[in-house]
Amino acid sequence: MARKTQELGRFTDVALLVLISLAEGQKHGYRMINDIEEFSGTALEPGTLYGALMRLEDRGWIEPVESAERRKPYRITDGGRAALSEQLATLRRIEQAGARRTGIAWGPA
Amino acid sequence: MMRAVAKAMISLYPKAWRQRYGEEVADVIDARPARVRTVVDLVVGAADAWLHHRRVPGAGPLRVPLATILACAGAGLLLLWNPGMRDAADLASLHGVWAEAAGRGMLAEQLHGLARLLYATAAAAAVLSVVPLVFTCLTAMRRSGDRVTRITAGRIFVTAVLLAVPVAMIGLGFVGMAFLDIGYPVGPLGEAMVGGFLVPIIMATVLALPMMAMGVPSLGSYVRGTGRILMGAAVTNAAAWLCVVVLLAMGLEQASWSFVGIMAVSAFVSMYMAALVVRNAWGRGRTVLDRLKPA
Repeated sequence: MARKTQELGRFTDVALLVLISLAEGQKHGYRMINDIEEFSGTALEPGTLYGALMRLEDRGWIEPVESAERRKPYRITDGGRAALSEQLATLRRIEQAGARRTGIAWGPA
Repeated sequence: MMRAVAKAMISLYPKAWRQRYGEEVADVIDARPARVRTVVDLVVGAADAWLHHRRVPGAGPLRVPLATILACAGAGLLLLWNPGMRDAADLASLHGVWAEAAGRGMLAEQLHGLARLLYATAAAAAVLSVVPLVFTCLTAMRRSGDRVTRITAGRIFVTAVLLAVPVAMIGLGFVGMAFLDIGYPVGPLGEAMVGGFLVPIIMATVLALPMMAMGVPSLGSYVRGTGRILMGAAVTNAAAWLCVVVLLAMGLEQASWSFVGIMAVSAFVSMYMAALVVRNAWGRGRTVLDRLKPA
């Protein structure tokens, strides 16, 4: 996964946030920004968001949904879901290693 | 205010990006508070989109507009002449090469005269190449039954009148420096080569007219004719550079490396620019005439 996301450069984190946001259902840009701010506290600006959307679309991890409206929704693809699972698993391993080394014990969420 | 500035930043993105995401981004800007960081983020995003142009869905190969290439090449030629050739490459080489070449016999004088004549011919051909088109436009803007033809012909004629001023100034500069010993003293070698820095700029300037005319099928043959004459001008320009190169070879012992380098770059840019003008004029003429052929 690390190799797959390397090419995303500074958009790696933003791409993860977008994939998580779209994992629960299709959304357009404005709703994505609000959703990401809500669950992560990260306030994305449009230039950054669409830089990440361009890369994710280029990789086939998300796709636009046909819409007559000005606000075009995007949905996550199967490839995007697989990439998200891999990245979350990596983060889980990192989190476990960090918790073990620092002695932090997380309680139930 | 900040929202308007942020929306204006969308115009900084590549065309393919704007077509794909422009409306959506405008919608997001409309729906959210716009701040300075929004504007900065969009500017950075635009730079990123240009750098990764191929990733934009549906983007074709990145094309720099012809006008930009020609403007940069023209500015480059002027800078290569002054300060490049006249100052940076040292005047000692300019005069030394000529003295050395002239010491080898009459050939240097003949090449000096021939180069100036060829550049003057190329410049004259470039200007004359659009004369038939301009006169046809003058007639068409009064008499054509087609409204589009009349309007386009009028625009071409007005543009021709406006372009006459810079073309005349460049032409006078060339004649003054090459034939009348006016301006900075660059010696016979400078006189022989100055045309190579100015002729492609004249060619690029007049190219605007056939480019405008290509939308009107009835002007197609004139666009093609302009391309044909411009091709002759480009070949003449190349032949004149050949004379200059022979002169340089004759006096090479007196030339500094910077002088030879700047001269080589100048010759390349000059011929490349002329070839680009011909390619476009010729290609556009063929496109217009192809449209007239029955399917």
